[in-house]
Amino acid sequence: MKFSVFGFYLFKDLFFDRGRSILTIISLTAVIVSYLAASAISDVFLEYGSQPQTGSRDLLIMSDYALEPMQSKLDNSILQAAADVVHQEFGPDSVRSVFPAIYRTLEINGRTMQVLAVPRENLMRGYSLTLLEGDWPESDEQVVVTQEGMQLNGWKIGDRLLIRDSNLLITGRVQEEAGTSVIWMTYSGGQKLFNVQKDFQIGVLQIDGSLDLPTVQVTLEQDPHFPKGYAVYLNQQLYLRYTDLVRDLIKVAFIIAALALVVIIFGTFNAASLTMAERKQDIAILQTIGFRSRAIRLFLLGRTLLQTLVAFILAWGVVAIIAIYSLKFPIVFFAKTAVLHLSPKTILLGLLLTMLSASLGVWLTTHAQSSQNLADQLRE
Amino acid sequence: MLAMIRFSLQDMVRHYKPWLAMAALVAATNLIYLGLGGYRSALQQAFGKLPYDDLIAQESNTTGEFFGSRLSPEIGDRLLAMGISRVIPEIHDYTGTSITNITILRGIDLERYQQVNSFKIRSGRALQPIDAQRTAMIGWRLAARLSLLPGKQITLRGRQFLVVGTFQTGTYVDNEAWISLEDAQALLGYGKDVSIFIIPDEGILKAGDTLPGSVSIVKRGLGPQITRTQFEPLFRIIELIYYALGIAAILTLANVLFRMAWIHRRELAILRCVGFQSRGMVVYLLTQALVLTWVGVILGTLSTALLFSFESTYLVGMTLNPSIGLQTGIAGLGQSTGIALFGSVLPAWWFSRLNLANQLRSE
Repeated sequence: MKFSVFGFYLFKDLFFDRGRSILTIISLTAVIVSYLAASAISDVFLEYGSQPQTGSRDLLIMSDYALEPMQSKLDNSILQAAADVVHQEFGPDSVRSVFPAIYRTLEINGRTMQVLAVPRENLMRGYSLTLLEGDWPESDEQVVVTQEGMQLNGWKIGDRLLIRDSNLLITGRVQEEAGTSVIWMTYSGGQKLFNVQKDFQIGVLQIDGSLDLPTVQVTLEQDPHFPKGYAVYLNQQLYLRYTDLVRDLIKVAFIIAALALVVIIFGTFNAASLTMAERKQDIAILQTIGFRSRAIRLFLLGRTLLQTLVAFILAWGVVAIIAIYSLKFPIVFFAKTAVLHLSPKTILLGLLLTMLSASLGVWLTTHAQSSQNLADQLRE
Repeated sequence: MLAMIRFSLQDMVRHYKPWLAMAALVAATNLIYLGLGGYRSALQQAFGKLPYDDLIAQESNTTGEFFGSRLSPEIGDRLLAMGISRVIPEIHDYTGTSITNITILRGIDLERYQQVNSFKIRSGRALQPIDAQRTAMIGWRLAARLSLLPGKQITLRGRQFLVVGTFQTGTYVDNEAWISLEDAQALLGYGKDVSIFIIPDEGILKAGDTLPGSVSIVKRGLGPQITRTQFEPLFRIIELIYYALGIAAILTLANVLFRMAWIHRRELAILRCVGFQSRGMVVYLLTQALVLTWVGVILGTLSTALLFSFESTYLVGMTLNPSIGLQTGIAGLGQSTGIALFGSVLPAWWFSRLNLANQLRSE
């Protein structure tokens, strides 16, 4: 049969049977919506702790007992000792910059926010921050906030934040690829705000681009001159801890996605088998007048796949709307915002699974029917 | 009526495949509903309202009941100088460097901690002022996680503590290890500092007040409340999935019922001709819908119970054990019955509008 003739009959049949086709598409859409939404949640948690590769050249020194950077405590002598080890092992140009960072996790308006204070020149150049709007802090009472933090709290440039009896002015909105709600300020501003003199939480060594960062990390940790009681981390390793903290939520999200997958298989199978139950006699007549089983199966497959495709596109649209709606209620754990979105992988996998289960439904039902006597089918 | 029910059930058995798929859909909807309810109630139990009316003094912008607050002993003296009758210090922090060894730690004033903390001893005994250094009592959930009993040692930041008892409060506190304030100060390098001061709400200070030196007065239990609130957006999205599945179940059920009845429209029309009333059609459809949804509910409830028996969720040092509450179970059954009613009303209404003669002619 020519493809054009096949297509013509397919559309004509769907139009003739439009009432039932619409019913099938609507119920399939609702099932696929559940699947896509569940997969999107699963994606949120899988991506939660992973930081995009930013090309960061930072090695972070922290107390070895600290799970949260806020628990860490070091001073300049430790940081300098670490820098000296790298200089000794990899040469005088191996370290581009050495600077301290004060880190706090704070509750502001009932939400968890991170506050990071680093020297101004490192804030502007050293931390993969992009100024999207406004200006960098000029004084100790000025801060810039990541766009996630601004959005979450409904802040805008020019607003003032009351933190620990200090009135801080937001001068800029910055982008940080990790998607964390962070208030950035100058190091001296942080010292004043938290009333600290020598101590800080994270020591940052910016390593020259010609060196392999993991090699420097291992060498540093194993060197006998590296101070005891401290550990060295890559940026990515610290962010992975967030994934660890919510690891069981990933499990829960995965269960929901797996469940939705079962639903999608049953849902499409249901649609296919119903069509078969309804059209037993039609199919038997087609077989009687000479249509081969394969042609009929192909026709039914095409019909089911077309319905499923339309339902999938509709469901995609509905979930996109849900994702936009969910922006109003972002999921925030430990200052990191997770936003519901549909990744291309989820969409493609969803489409593939939907089509496969629809095909399976058609195959199973047509296979069962082909074993039946033609006369019996005609009589039903 | 009975004949109609029998006919309806026979028809279900004859075309069992779509019904099985449909039951699976209802079961999945029920499972998500019960799962969501189980986690909600587990969180409510863990982080719900604490049975205390006290206030706490903590470092501003921190959740001192968990972590992050640090106050000097002078703050305690200042509170006493203000005329507050009872000022009890505590340390709240955690130890561990990864999810596998994280332990929530509380340093308590052995002389007075029982004035502000109520608990039930499950095994061993409570900590006493005469206890030697490096002794601990631990919550029963932590004890279960680490397989510890009184007499065994627990390792906190590399140091061994003797467990003298396990306790139960019914909240997230059951995941904590309690040691003396002095031990906690030495272990965590706090010096003489503490995390919070627990004070009674006797009108001298109220929640929302601040003291010089970045000290805030908050209601005890605010930290757990904030923690619980963090999960709400996630639950809201899971709820959306549940609603989508619920709508899918209603639409699919209506679709299946209608189309199955459509296949048998001639037989149903004959039954009406031989004296069955038109409400027979409602009985026919409702029987199928109820049998189907109740099978789905049983499957969903059993699957959830099975899942919960294997699955305890471990989150930031705390174990959550979701379970199916009676109220949630009944609500799940009610909602599934609602799905059955909504799903059967639509096709019943549709069929009632069809011409009997046309149905008889159909072949």
